[in-house]
Parts: sequence; C-alpha cells; structure tokens
Amino acid sequence: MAFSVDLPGGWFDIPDSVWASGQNAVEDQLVALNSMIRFAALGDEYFAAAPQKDGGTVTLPQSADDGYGYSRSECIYGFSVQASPDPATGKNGGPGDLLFFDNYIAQDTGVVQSGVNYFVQGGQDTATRDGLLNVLILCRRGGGNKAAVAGTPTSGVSSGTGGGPAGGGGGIATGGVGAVVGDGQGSQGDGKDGHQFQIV
Amino acid sequence: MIPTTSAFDAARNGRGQDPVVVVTFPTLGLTYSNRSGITGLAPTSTFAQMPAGASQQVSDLQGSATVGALNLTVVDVNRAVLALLGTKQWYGALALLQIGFAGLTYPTDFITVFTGVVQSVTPTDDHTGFVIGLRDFNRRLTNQVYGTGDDGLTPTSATNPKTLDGNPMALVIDLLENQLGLASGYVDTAAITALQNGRLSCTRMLFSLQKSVNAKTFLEQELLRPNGLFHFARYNGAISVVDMLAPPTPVGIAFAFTQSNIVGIPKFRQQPIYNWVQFDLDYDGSNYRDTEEFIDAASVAKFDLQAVLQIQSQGLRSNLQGASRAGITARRIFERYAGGPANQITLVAASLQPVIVEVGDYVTVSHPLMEDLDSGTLGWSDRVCQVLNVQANWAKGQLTYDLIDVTAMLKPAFQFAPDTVPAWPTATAPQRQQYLFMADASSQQSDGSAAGGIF
Repeated sequence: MAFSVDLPGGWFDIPDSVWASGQNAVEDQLVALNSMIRFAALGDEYFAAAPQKDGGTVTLPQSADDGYGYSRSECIYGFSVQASPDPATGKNGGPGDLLFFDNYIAQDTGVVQSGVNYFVQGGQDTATRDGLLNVLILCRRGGGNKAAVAGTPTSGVSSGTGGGPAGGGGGIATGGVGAVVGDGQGSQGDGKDGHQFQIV
Repeated sequence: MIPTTSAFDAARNGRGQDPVVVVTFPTLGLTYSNRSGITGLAPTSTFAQMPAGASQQVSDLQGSATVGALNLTVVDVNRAVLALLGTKQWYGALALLQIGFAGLTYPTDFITVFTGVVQSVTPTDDHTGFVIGLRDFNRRLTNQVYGTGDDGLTPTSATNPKTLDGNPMALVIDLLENQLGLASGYVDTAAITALQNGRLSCTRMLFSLQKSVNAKTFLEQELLRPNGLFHFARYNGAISVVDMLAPPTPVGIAFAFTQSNIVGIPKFRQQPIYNWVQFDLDYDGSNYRDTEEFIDAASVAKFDLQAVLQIQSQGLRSNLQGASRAGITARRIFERYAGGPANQITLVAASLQPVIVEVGDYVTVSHPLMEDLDSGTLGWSDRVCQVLNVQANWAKGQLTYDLIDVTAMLKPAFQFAPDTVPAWPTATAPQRQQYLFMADASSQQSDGSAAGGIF
C-alpha cells in the first residue's frame, strides 16, 4: 500500500488511557495516531544536494519514500566547503594564500553565494567567486510557514505567550574552517500552504 | 432528554391527557398556572395566557443555536402585578416553565421544560395586564470576552494578545464559567467534560486573540464548528455542547415516533449538498497560512457539482494535528451531506408524550407512508434521527420537531481487547463482535472474512 503523509502533521499527545483494553476504538484517536506515525516516519528527511558553486540554486528535493516534493519553506540548508579553487578550472582564482571564505545559502530561496579571497603578503587581496560547497538539505513537512506554537502542556487551559518551535527557517552555521556563515536569522517564507485531498 | 418521575411518565404515556402548565418566578414569589386544584401548587393567579412556546433552532453546519424566547401574558387582577414592579427586580429574574398533568403532585412529579430569565415586562395593549418576555441563557453568550491581554492589565491588542491554548472543551468551560461568569449549575459540565475525555481528547487548539471577541461567535465559529459540535440551552438553563456530526455508539433513543403518535405524515425539507470542504487554519493574526481542501470525488461526479463549504479556524494548527482534525470534520460532513440531500423532516406530535425530548437528542421515526429516498421504497422503520429544533405551543399542547436522519452515520463500536482474547481465527463470535481485530490492507481478516469498519 502506498505510504504518504497526506496532511501536514505535527505532534500531539494522546492520553495512554484511550488505548486501554475495554475502551472503544474511536475514529478521532485512531486518525491522530495514524497521522503521528506517518509524521514520525516521514516528517523529517535529510538530503545531500549536488555540490554547489556560487550563483547556483539548491534544487528542491523529493522524498524517495513517497515522492513528496518539498517546498522551499519546508527546507533549510547546512553547508561546508568542499574545495576552495574555481570549480570550473580547479585552480585558484587569485594569487597568494587563502585569506577568508564568504559562503552563504539564502534560506528562503536556496541561492548559493560562495566567495574566496586570496592575499599576497605585502600586496593587495583578490576577491573571487571560487569555491564549491557540500550542502545538506534538512526538510520538515509543513514546516516553515506556521504560526508559532506555545510549548505548553496539553491539558487544561493555559494562557500566556508561548515560545516553542516556530516554523521559520534559520540559517545553519556549519561552515568549514575559515568559513563565514550567515547570521542565523533566515527569513520566513510568505507562501501559503495548500493541499487538496480526495476522499473516496 | 429531560429527567422525569415514573408518575410523570405514566401520565404522559396515558390517554386522555390533561396537561397543567406552570410559569413560576422563584425570586419574585409569583406562580401562574392554567389550572388550580393541583396538589402542592398554589398559583398566584390562573388569569394567564399560556405562552405559544419557546423554540431553539440549532445548525449542525454552523455550530450555532438561536436564543429561545417565549412571552407570558398575565392579567393583572386588582393591579397586584403593577404594585410589584416597584418593589421587585424583574429584569434578569429567574423564570421556570413547568409541565405536569392533572392528578400529579407539584412540584415533585412536574418537569421543567424551559429555564430562562425575564427580558422585558410590557403592559398589554388594552392595559389589563402585562406581557412578560422570557429568554433562555443563550442570551448571556452575547457578551464580549477576553478583553484583557496576556499581561493581565491592559486591553487585548496586537501587541498584547490574549493566548488561549488547550483542549477546545476546556476552553468552552473557561469561556462559560470564567469569562461569562455562569454558575456551574448553568454549564453542562458533565456533557462537555465527557467530550473532552472522549473523542476530543486528542484535540488541541491555540488562539492568539488580538482583540476581545463576542462570546457566542467565538464559541460557535471557533470552538465548536471546526470540531463538528454545537451548543444549546437545556431544559434547566444549562448551556450544553453536543456532538452534531458523530452519533454516539451505542446511540441512546429518547423517543420513538410512529404513525400512532404523529399527526399526519412527516414533511421532508430539502437540504443542500456539500461535497467540498475548504478548511483554513494556521491563523497568524491576519491571514490563514494553510488551506486544506477535502473533496468527496464520488459526490462531485454523481451530481456534477462542486458544492463548497468553507470553515475557518483560528485555533487549529497544522503542527498540532489541526489538518487531521479538519479532515475528520470534513469526512463527517460528507457522510451526512455529500451522498445526497440529507433527510431532514418536520413532524408534529399527536400529544405531549414526547415532551421529554430536547434539542440534540436522538429519536427513531417509523412510518409506512414515508418515502425512503435512499432505497427508492416506501416506509421508514426505526430510522435514527437527531433533533435540530423543538417548537412547543403550550397553549395548544402541541409539539413540533425538526429532525435530521443520521441512520447512515451509525457505526458499531469495537473495544481494544485484553490479552486474554485470542487472535481472530480462534476468537469466539461474541469476541469478534466486541473487540477490535486488525485486518489486512484488503480489509480482510486472516481467514479471508470481511472486516468491519469503525468509521
């Protein structure tokens, strides 16, 4: 049978008592359990993207399990430097030694920036768009555009402002030695999620 | 269903009913009745025109209930009532409408069918008496609530929102008891708590209000409608919540309507088709960030029609299983409205025998001359219906009911089995009827027999 997360899922505690022997099996709880199992199985997925050079855009991944195509707002990107030379020539784009890296992946667009500066002692430094990045795509279905959720208990009524796992993507700092990373404040996408399901 | 005594039941089920209608105002010390000479009853006056009756209409698709109202006209003998106007607090005074039968003892064997408060006192056009307007406790729901934000000091606003987080039934109780200040006796906490601990035990809603809200609108549109529920005022004035889209298993039957206790043949009322539910959730204060659309493809093909019902919920969050919750509500709406126009009927009772039936109760209807629109045959036999409206005319002793046929929504109940229950092949027939057994992807048990579904 095909396996898919057909609705955006999330975590919600179901009281253990509803599963005790003698309790009636209730649609709402079975659906919630099924949803959480699916969400647990496929809610988070990780993909290794093709090596990225400056100006490229990380291609959105597709789940190998159920073919689900991720939207940009459901992805965040971690990266490290694979190589510093110009990926087209395999040679450094400037003279001298490495001075610093300037690497970044825009979390809301997937656009890659890669810069390498070279420096000759006693001379000028040379800025280039060299470098090749390893990219890891971290995906969460339904993530990215959701309103913040208070991290409060589920029983009773609680009031007060909540923190908790808001969906906005933040920059991931995984650069290699000498890498300059983003400020960890990735912008949240403004797209609206939408799904359509046929009940047969 | 309104509780009764055995003596009351014997009288209402008997022939030759002689009803006694009592309207009493406990805090005013006034009691009006259409009869005297009832044991235990000392009416202030029998010069009262009995009210045409209260009506409370509920909507299964909107989660709403109208405010029940009735007017009592009293003749002001010797201007006694006029004198009371200056000494008593009429407005807001408690009022009870009670029904009994001749030969019964008051108040022991009488039942209360309406509890409300005085809304207005107006002299009659001929100035010989007063018209006392009564309203049920739904009127209290019109207040504004959650006017103070999370800081507990200043008004709710975008910069000082009011956060509500919890089970929707816990939020209902908070709204009724803490925000509206209804005494616990006027909140049907037993029914609401049962829902909270039952099928809604895995439901959580999160609101971030940016301004105060109308209690009735918030209750109906935000807390109840997205979850397939509605509210109504019970006979004793308590605000209750009922599961509209999911009949309980087993379903309790409050009354059996048959050709013997119905006037004529019940009338059908055409209802809309809904085969497309658009659910907006993940409200961020100005926009809904997620939209789920649920489609009954068979219905769309059958009727060549896309009939859309839109539900917006500021409290359902997709990362709190809100989308699954929306799907359950949508599926139940389809179960009732997608296959064809729902069987909604109106019937008039031939006597006061079904006076115990309330809005939200389940009844059965049997009549040999009613069309079965599903099978294309004639005759209804014990079809289970839910009560959407009760229209009482106490002056005429007549009760009219609006019902919706929920027979197709009834499902068997299966329990989780204890360890002592064997696997399907060796389970006994009663065990197979009682407990949940896992079937394969083809909905077959291990011996090839067809599996029963629970939804």
